[in-house]
Amino acid sequence: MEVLKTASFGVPVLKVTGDVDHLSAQALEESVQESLRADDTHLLVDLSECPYMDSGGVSVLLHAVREVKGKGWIGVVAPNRNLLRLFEITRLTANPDARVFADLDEARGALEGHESDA
Amino acid sequence: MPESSGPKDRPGFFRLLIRADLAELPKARLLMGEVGQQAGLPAARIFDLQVSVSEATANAIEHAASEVELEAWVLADRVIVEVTNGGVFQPGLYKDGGGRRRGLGLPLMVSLADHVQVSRLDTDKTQVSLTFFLEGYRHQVSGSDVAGKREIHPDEVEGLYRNLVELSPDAILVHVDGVYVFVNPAAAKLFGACSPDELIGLRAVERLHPDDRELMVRRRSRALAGGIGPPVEGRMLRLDGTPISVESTGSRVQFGKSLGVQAIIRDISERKWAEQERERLLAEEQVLNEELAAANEELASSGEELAAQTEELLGRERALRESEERLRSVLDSSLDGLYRLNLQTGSYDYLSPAVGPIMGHSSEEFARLSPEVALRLVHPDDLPQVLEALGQTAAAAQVEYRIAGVDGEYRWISNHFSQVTDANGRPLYRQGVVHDITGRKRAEEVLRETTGRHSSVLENMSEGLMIFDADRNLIFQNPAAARIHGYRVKQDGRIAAEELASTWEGWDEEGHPVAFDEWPLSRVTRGQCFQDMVLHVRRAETGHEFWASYNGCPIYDRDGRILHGFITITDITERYRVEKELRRKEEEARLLLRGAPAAICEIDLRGPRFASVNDWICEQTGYSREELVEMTPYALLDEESQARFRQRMQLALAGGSPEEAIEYTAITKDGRKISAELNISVIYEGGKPTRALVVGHDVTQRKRVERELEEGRKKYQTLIELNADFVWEMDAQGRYTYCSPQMEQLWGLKPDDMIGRTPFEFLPQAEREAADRLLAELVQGDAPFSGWESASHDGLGNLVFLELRGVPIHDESGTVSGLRGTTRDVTERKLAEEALRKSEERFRLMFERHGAVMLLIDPATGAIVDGNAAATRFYGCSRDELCALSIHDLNQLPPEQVAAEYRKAAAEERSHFVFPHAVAGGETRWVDVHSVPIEVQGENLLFSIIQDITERKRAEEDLQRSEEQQSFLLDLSDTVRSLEDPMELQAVAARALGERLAVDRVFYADVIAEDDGYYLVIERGYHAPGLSDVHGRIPMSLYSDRDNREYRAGRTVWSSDVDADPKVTASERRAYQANKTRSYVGVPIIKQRRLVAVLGIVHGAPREWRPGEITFAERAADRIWRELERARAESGLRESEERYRQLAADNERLYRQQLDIAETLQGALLDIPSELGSVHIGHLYRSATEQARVGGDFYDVFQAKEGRIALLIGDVSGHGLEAARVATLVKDIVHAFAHQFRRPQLVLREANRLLVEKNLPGFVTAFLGFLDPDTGTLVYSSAGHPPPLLLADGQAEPLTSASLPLGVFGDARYHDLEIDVPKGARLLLYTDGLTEARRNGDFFGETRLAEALVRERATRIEELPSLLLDEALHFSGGTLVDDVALLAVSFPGGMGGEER
Repeated sequence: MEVLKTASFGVPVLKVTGDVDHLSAQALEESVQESLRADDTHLLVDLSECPYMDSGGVSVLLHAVREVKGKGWIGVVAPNRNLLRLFEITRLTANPDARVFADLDEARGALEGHESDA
Repeated sequence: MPESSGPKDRPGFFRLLIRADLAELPKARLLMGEVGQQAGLPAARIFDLQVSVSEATANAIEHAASEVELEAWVLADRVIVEVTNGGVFQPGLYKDGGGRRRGLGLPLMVSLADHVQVSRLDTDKTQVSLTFFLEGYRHQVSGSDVAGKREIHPDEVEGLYRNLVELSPDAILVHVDGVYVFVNPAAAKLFGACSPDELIGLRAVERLHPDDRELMVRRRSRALAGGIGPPVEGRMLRLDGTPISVESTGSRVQFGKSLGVQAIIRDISERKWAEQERERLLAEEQVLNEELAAANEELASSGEELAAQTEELLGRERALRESEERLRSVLDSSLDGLYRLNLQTGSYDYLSPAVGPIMGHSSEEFARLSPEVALRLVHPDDLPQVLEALGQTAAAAQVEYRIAGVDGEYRWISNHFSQVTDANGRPLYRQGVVHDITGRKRAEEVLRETTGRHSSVLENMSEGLMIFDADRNLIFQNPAAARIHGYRVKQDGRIAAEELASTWEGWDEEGHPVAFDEWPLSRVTRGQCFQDMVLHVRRAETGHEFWASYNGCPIYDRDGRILHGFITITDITERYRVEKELRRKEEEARLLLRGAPAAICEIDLRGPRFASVNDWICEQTGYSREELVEMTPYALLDEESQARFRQRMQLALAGGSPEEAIEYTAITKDGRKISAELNISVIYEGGKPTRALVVGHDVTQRKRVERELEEGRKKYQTLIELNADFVWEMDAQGRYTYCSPQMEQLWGLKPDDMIGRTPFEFLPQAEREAADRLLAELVQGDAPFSGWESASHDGLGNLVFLELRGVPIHDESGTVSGLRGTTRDVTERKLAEEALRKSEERFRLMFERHGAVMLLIDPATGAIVDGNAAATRFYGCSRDELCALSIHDLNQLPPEQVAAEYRKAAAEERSHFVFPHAVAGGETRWVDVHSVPIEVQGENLLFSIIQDITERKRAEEDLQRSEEQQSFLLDLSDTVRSLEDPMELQAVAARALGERLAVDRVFYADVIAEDDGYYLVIERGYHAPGLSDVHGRIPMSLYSDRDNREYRAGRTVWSSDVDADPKVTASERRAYQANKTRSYVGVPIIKQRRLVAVLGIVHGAPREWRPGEITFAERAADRIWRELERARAESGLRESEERYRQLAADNERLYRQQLDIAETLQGALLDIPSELGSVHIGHLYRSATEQARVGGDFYDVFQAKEGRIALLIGDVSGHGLEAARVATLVKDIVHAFAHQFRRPQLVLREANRLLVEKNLPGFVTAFLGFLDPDTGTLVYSSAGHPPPLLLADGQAEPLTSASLPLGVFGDARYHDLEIDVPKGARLLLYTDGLTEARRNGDFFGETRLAEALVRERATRIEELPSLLLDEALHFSGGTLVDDVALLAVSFPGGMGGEER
């Protein structure tokens, strides 16, 4: 698994390529934490190239969601159907501080809406 | 190294062994991918399989010792994966906090897999077994949603953990706030409970052994604070109170919402017992060994004799052989090893069977060992000793050494032996006894350790310890003792008494020499016990002196002889030095005091006598110091002072501190008296009062002055002032000449202000004249007076009452010059008297005017002593008449019944009675009589309050009636509830009411509005037998305006007798008469402010309507209305249900039409030619049930690129129109791409990509083959579809190709396989509905299908599908669980027509 750090429209984006399991989740966690230290309001995790994830990865995301609570949200971008199902089962998607986007454009739309709200 | 085995070893079985390392997880994932594909699971389920197995594996890795084993089985209907690790699978729930990554794994696992089971294997391993049902079998899983989308229910996870905890062989208990809230079965067993429930709710602390409670409770509170310590050992109590030794580990857990402690408890009673037993055995063994050693010594010497005898025996061999054999058998049976080694031959003449085992070998083995070899087995450290012993020529020797057994372990051996030499001193043989002393040696080691431990304590003690034997020899001293005494420690630690005696001199505390016979060691060895014996000791040799305190006690043996004397020594030299210093200082102080200008003396309390006196005392008393020292202090005091002094001394000696100075009178040598104030302080020595220091001051002068002063003040002043009364003197005119101080206290008037004024000015005007007159009389009368009472004002103007008494005062001439007397303030007494009087008056008034009937009765006769006004009214006679009566005249009950009532009241401890009394107007009324005994002017009377309870009794009866009515109403509701017809309901209710009230007629009428006014509609009412029925519409205008008005206002109308009722008009009366109505009740029912109905109750005779009956009628009316509404609503509902049923039938029709459309669609889907070129085709489609006539199965045979023939079969998940639509779509897509690509895998890949893009629900399995009719080559690819069967040469083979279904993964890849189809071969393509046809869970399956295909190889290809389906249906008993599609193809060549 690889994590590529970029940014789109001023929000940090972590693009995950490969499987996230209990071992690789540790690397993902480090990247997420590093990113949250720089910006603790929003983070996008691009999962378009992540075919597999287990509870190791979901825990990292849940943890991140807790950290931005009240400040912003964590967006998962383009998870495949299996991942989405996993997120539903683990109630990640039920969390108001977690968002699911079909692609980065949709995420951008949500962010702009958010800013105009503010 | 991981090892993995796949299907080539055993079809459908997979095994993988991985290291306990998270880096190994991808291997598990990869394997699950393989397993899932083999099982034909859809991609989403493969994903689930991978995730849940990863979770189980990750968890196993965290707890595994070294490796984790995965095993998977692909079965016909399910996949089972078992993850096994060596180690306890720890439930996260019971862990404190836990890592972030841990929390989700298990729940996810449970959620994704169809079934999860955790079990403990016998090998102490934990195994998680995960089951995934294949598609189409998932409905076997109860409660699981086929869509596979399930949220985690916390109970499930809890259940899983609970399962784990329940399985644990260790006792696990959780307690919250000190009370057990969870107990597993192992714990219940440990505590001797039948079930865990017995322990739940008990207090945890009560299960701890009292001796260990503190430690364990402390440990538990530490656990609650979050700490985790090592296991603690202690004792707990079973439910029956027996103790168990346990090892307990505590940790904090979250239990529900509370924080608790989880204790894991292991029974170590066995271990503890074993430890104790071992110690006991060791001790026993030691004793035994000692005995044995002694016995052996004897035996060894007897061995010598034996040897000598043997010599003789050898000479007379034959004669005595029998005897020898007897001896030998004795020796053989000895537990000790006996041997005789011939030193000339180097072999054993005799070796008893026990020797070998003692040496750690079998007897035979040991016999073969030469003595040289045996020596090599001796422990190297012990070898020198052994050799030395062997080298000795002495008659007997003994050596202990270690020797290695055949098992390589050393054991301790004791070898007693003797060597026998010939006359020339040449060794002949060595004979001896060996025995195993390993146990003793171990015991010795233990003892050495123990002794070491004790001696280290003794060595580090600061207190000296010496032990003497009975002969007064010092046999032990610890370093502290040696340090104090400076004894040289000798090698054996023993010093003789004489030696000690010559080196010391000792003195007691008084400085008297202490003889050696009185020394601690002498005393203790004489049997004396002593404590704190203080000695001043000097060493003769060095002159070193010290003070020491000795404690001693002797130790006796069993016979009472002194065995040892124990002495402990504490060096108190330093303490003595300090004390000496102190004494010197005291001496200095004494010298100083001697010259002080005050009496200072020291009294030795033992005399008591003066220990010292100072000069001042000598001067004052006239005694010399020498004389005083000879006197007791009492001799100086007068009698009174002696007593006082003695008292003070006793107080001082008892530990009190008589600090204040008290006066004493001393008598000088020449008889003078001196007053002195003495201060006494007691001096303690050694905790005991020994001396008193007395400091005195001469107060003689002060005393004399004081005495004179006091005498001057004496007179009667004090008396007066101590008097509570005011004392006064006045002149003949009544002016005060003296006022005592009480005046101010009593009336707030200052005595000084009052001198010269008369008290009469404070009297009220009315009293003043009388007072003046009285004063004049008293002055003239010249006699004492008393009892003069007067009201007056005090200094603040308050009214006070005074009582005066006095005597006249005479001047020198004897005439009365004034009065002297006392005045007492009697205000309080006066006020109390006044209050009493008023209270009596108030009571009288209360009695008189009270509304309640009250009597005063003489309890003895029953005579009425008094009665109040209410009583006279109640009984209708005057007070005098009443007082002439007895209570028995009033009570209507005969005397014996009254007596019975009194007894009953007494038994029930009540003071009131219920009697019928005759009252005014000759009436009898029920009264409640409350009586209390009172005392009126010394007379015991009964005070009775009489209450008329006739009305209450009546009310009670009414209440009872109303309860009956209530129950009638309930019965009524019950009766009519089952009735559906509103008319019948009306009739039943009316009859019940009519019979209940015993009236002629009851009807319930709906009110309807017509153009010309309102009508009552009576359908079925009640009428008494013999009366005519009335029903129909009755215009309300027939009733009076008043009734109509009342009805509209919702008020009930009634009349008890219309003939006598003034409200009824003459015309109305006539109408009533026509209706045979004399009395009636009409109850209107108003709903939503509209009169909706009237309940009518009619009687042909006058009838009194009690209020309760009116209310009853109203409630009955309401009840009937409600029940009618219900019945009407129900019948309405029935109608509407009927209407809906009609609608549903219409719907059904529509639905069927839709189905027909779908069927048409399907028909189109399955419409294929029966031959294509040289290929002949048979096909069939059958839906599983009538309801699901439309399925997602499809097939096709068509011309593809380059003259090849495409064979396609597929199955869309799901049923109905949507599935049919997708099937059409897939068919079209495959058609399209089949014209574009030559390779089936590319067609499938593109079809998959398109389907994923379209984001269709579910998935599609498919098989696509391209047949080249010219070459007979078939290229095919499968997307998760059941493998088609190829029939060639009389054998059916599946065309296997594992791959993913279409429409799930965008990047799924497919593979082409190629075979050459023999001429005349047949290919059967089918959907899984065929192989899954089942009977009692057994599947028709691929094997049966292949057999049928072979069997029917001669059947025409067009007919083959229906034959095969019949086989399947025959197997399953005619039912299908899923749709079936069959496509049979025969290839050209072979036997031509027959092949068709």
